[in-house]
Amino acid sequence: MSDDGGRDVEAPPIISVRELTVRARDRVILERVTLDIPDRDVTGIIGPSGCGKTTLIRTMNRMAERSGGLAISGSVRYRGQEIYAPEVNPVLVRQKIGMVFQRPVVFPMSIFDNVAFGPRLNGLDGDELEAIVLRSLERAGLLGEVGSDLDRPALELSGGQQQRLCIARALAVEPRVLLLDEPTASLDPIAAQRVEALLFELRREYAVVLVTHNLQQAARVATRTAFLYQGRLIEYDETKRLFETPREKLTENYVTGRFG
Amino acid sequence: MSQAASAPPPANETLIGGTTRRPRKSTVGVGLAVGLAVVLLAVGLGGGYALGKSLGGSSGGTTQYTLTETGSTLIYPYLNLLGPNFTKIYPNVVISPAGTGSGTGISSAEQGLVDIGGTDAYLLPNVAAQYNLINVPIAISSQLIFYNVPGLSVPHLNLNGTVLAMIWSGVITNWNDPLIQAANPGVSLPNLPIVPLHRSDGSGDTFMFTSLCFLSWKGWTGGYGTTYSWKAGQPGYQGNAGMVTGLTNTRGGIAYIGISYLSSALAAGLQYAALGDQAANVNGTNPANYILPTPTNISEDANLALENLQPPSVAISLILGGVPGATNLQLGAGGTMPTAQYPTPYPDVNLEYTLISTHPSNPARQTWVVTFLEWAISSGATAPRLSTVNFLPLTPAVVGYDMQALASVPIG
Amino acid sequence: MDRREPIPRPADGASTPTPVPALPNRRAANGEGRSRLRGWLASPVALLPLGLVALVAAVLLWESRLANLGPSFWGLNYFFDPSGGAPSVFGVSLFLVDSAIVAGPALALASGLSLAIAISTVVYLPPAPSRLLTLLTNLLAGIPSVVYGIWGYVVLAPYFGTTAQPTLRGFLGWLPGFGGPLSAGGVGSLLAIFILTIMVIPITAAVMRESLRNVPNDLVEAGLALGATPWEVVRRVRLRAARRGLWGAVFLGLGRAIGESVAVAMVIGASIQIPPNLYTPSTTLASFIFYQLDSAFFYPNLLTALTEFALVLLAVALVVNLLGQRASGADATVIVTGGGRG
Ligand SMILES: Nc1ncnc2c1ncn2[C@@H]1O[C@H](COP(=O)(O)OP(=O)(O)OP(=O)(O)O)[C@@H](O)[C@H]1O
Ligand SMILES: [Mg+2]
Repeated sequence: MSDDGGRDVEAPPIISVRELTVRARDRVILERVTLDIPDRDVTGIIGPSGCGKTTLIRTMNRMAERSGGLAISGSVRYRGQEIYAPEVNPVLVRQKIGMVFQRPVVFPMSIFDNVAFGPRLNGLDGDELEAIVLRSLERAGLLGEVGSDLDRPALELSGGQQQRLCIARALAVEPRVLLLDEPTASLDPIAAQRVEALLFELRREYAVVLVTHNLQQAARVATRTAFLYQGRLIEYDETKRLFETPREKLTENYVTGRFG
Repeated sequence: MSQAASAPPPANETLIGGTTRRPRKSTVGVGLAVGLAVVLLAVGLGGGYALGKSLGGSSGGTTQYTLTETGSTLIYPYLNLLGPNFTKIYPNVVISPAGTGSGTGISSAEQGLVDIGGTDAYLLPNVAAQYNLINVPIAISSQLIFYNVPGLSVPHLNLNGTVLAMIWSGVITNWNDPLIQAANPGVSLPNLPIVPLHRSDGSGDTFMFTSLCFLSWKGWTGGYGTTYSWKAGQPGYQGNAGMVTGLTNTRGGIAYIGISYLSSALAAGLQYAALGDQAANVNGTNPANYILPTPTNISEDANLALENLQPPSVAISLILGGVPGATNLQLGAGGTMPTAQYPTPYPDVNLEYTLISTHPSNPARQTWVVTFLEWAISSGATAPRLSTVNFLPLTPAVVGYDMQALASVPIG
Repeated sequence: MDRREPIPRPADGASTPTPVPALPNRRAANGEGRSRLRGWLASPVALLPLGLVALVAAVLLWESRLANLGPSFWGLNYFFDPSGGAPSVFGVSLFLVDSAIVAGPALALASGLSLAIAISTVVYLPPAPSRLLTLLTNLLAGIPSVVYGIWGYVVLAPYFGTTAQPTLRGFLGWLPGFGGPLSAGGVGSLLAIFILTIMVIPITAAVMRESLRNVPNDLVEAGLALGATPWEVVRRVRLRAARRGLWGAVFLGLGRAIGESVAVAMVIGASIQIPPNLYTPSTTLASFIFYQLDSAFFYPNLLTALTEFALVLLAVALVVNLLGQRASGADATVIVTGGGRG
């Protein structure tokens, strides 16, 4: 894969995937995928349904091994560190590399407790905990909306608010990377737009990896975009270039078909 | 490709599928369960009906009868022994007994659910008359007092009704109590707390034992019956088998156990007591004679109680039988007892009763009930059969009474 | 083709408080519940158990005619003179207290063990051992009560008398209820608690297992993605999300513990008293009714008293069961239809 001169070429990637192959019992889900995720930027991952997008980002924080029967080979490094090394604790990997799912998954507890979930695991409490909860809600653009009543059940929030709560909850763990798997797919356009805007903001402090079916969304938010097809990385480039002058025929078909 | 991309999100599909699948699954389950229940019910009813027809209806020349009995668990093994032998003589009649408890035997007989009710305790004559039933004794049984006291120098301790009543009342609490010592001179009694056991289920044995206590000691409160309000903390066991097991597990324990369980109690290493013949003087704590439950002693007790009873009745407790004063306690029909004293009989004895109807709905069927009982108290009551369950044959007086009573039952 | 330009950028910090219309989640859920209720009432299959319960209650009411329903009926005293020499007192509360003393600890033990079993099978054990453990716990449910009872007084009672009771008193004798006299033959409240615990486990474990298993995988993965260890996910996500089902399991177990009669009657020692400690014999309401039944046929006033006791037991069992069904929601249906997943 070409790793041609982007703007951030001099900065080291925060995650580098090399020759990643994921096999299910009788088929290959990802085949020799190699790509770098830059720090403090939004990276998009697009591709038709079933091409392996979810599997790819789930290998990046060792969630993939939870789905049984997958054989993972190759290398995933987080800031130069091999996350699949035997001595690595996946719990710590996940603390550094957070994840948000397609459908908002809030815990059946209060807004505060949802956001405090991660920090509490790390032993935070009292003022410190409250500060980090408020900061995370603010970063997720939710503080103004939910107001002072953080003891409300989180399930009372709207879908869009719930998804931003999930983002706030992930941020509260203070990760460096945020993996998002179609985070706006189940939201209405207005709610989706808010989440999208939030991601764009987050790019200043975090490495954001955004899996999306919505090509316009990738075009709007992602600096670089990877196109996956049938488990292979077809093209990975600056988003503008990928959409306007794709090098591969497959990419062109996909991007134009989408807009077509 | 664009089609695939614009397909609805798969997650929503799963959601819908999940919600509809679940109730359907449970509906199938309920359907299956109900179906199975209906089939079972149908088979059960149909089978029962068919069985009933084949049993009650006439097939070929002779009418087939299955005579049902339910009640006392002591009588059950005896009837189980008699039944097949009766069928050998009368192939068209089968006896079908069930050991359910004397209370159930009485209740079922009262409601006419069975041909024969079996009970260890007689039905009060006025109640029997009310339900058109008669008490028909078929054997003599007795009760033994077993104890678990290791290391005694004698095979049988001497105990008596007064001491037993005091033990179960919590007045005597240790095996080395002076009253026990007085009854067992020369025996070295251990310093060991006494744990009195009782039957938790309703039981003719409890009836006999509480009667013995009631008749022996004025301090006994709470009366007598198949159940009793035992002193708090005393352990209760289900059935005679439970008593044997419980007593085996309980060092220092003492229990009243039906004589049918003699061999299993002995096999468990338990010992039984000789009982005092007192009660000529109620509250006498150390009567002159201590008597073992030998067949002779048991029969003699029954004889003495019944031969001299005027008017004759079998609805009587044989506890402390033959001892003046017993009937004053109104255990039985209220006959008068002779005043002479009988020095030898074993005091803890009773009759095993069957209850049959004097107004049968099916006189032809009742013929066989009467025939069976007449056989059961005469030629059927062979020594080997009786001794298998440690019962004793009825005394001639009782057999005579029974025969007279059975003759009065209208049959067709 | 639009790029980043047209995105409305929210102001830094506090975002604009645009009211977001609340999703009709709750109302939808309520509506579904109501229609399900209507479906239940309409279904004749559902009316059958209702009718049966009403019939049983009516028969009990008729039989007892509530003859003993004075103030003493709710008291703590029981005395019955079968020969009628002294007035009888039938205090049902004595038996209710005893039932609580036996069922309470049994339920606590069973719930704890069941939770451990459920967590192991759902979260920790690999499929094969997990299935084996499920099979074994379900097997416990298939053993008839009377077999537990016989096992209890033949095998366990001697052990309890000579070893278990003295050992427990040795360690915990200083605690109220754990000191004091032992039961010589081993039968008594402690043995009943032990037997009941084993008998309750299959029920509580099955319901707990199903409710833990029904916790959405999404929630579990969300917990893991926040850097929680598997155990932390169990404690903070699974147990929380399955809370209703777990409480349902406890109530269903309580129903079993209170209602069991045969096995308890055989091992509890059948002494009509509030036991001064855990070792001594006592009696539960259900076991008392069971072992007094035959005598009740001799003594009509005992029969009416027992019938009234049965009414009280029926009421208690119904309330406990309804609470359990209510708490566990769908999980209870799994048990009732005898199905469940896998
Ligand atoms: N644990 C697994 N075992 C077997 N096959 C799997 C497993 N996980 C995923 N797959 C298969 O791998 C392929 C890629 O799945 P993945 O979820 O990564 O696709 P995706 O690109 O995220 O699709 P979508 O856009 O629909 O979310 C699919 O065909 C899927 O069925
Ligand atoms: Mg996906």
